[in-house]
Amino acid sequence: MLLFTGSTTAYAAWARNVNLGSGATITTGSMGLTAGWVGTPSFTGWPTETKTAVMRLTQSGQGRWQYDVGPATGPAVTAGAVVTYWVVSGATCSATPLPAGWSPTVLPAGGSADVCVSVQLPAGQVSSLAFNVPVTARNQSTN
Amino acid sequence: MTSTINGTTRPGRLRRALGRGALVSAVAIALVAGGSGAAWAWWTATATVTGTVTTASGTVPPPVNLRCTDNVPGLLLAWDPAPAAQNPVPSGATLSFLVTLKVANGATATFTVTAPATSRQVTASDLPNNGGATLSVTVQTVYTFSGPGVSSTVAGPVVGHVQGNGGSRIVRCGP
Repeated sequence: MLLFTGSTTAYAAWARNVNLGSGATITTGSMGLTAGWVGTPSFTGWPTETKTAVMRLTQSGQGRWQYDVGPATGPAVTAGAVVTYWVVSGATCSATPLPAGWSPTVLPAGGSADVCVSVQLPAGQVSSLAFNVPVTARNQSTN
Repeated sequence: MTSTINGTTRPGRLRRALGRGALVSAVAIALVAGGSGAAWAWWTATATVTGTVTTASGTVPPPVNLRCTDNVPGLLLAWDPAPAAQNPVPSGATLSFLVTLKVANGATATFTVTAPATSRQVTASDLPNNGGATLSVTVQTVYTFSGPGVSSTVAGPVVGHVQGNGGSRIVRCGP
């Protein structure tokens, strides 16, 4: 079928139909993320001292997954604490910064990942100021 | 072949989307027509970890036994670190000493001496120019982690004075 519009342009409109039937499987699932400290962290020290702790992320549900650790927030950060993230080597923090954005490694379903959290304490005197580390996980295909 | 249906959704929404969404349908059709592969929706889950920060209320101990010895053409300042029991240098810290020279008009000059050194030779060229003939010297202990460091109260002062003029000036201990 040709359609004429105006006087100079003509084009054909094609249509194709394919049945979405066999071979398409829709699977429901779920995904959860928990995050917590490995052991009991201590972020108490001298002003400007740096303290570290290991944070463990665990996924529940179906599908492989990646994670993204966001900038820390909270009163401690406002007071001058500097929170950075580092790759864990063995059970301790390495000197390699955690890559920004989504983790380059796609983890298996139900897997865990450890992240080193490094906190340079504020220069002034502070007492029991909280900071929050937000973590987001997203699923990937199962294959 | 794998393809992604972008966006954050839940399974129920995905099913509905497949029933009516033109874009999603097109992707699914392409996948089926291709004969293999999978489409999935990106789900996200979030969590937050909380920590608590406290900085020590302890104080950095000042050095002790600050002393001044004439050492022509200047003077030699020396001191001792605070006893180890009072001065357990924190892990990861660098121990140093901040020497402050203050002349009569209030002008100051500062020098950092990194441990294990515990002395500093001072000559006239170390002093602020034209500051007067009297000199007051104090020393502080400094723990440095990163950033500015943490300082003790001052030890001293010990006093000194300047003799002579111009390039022939010398610094001596005492008033």
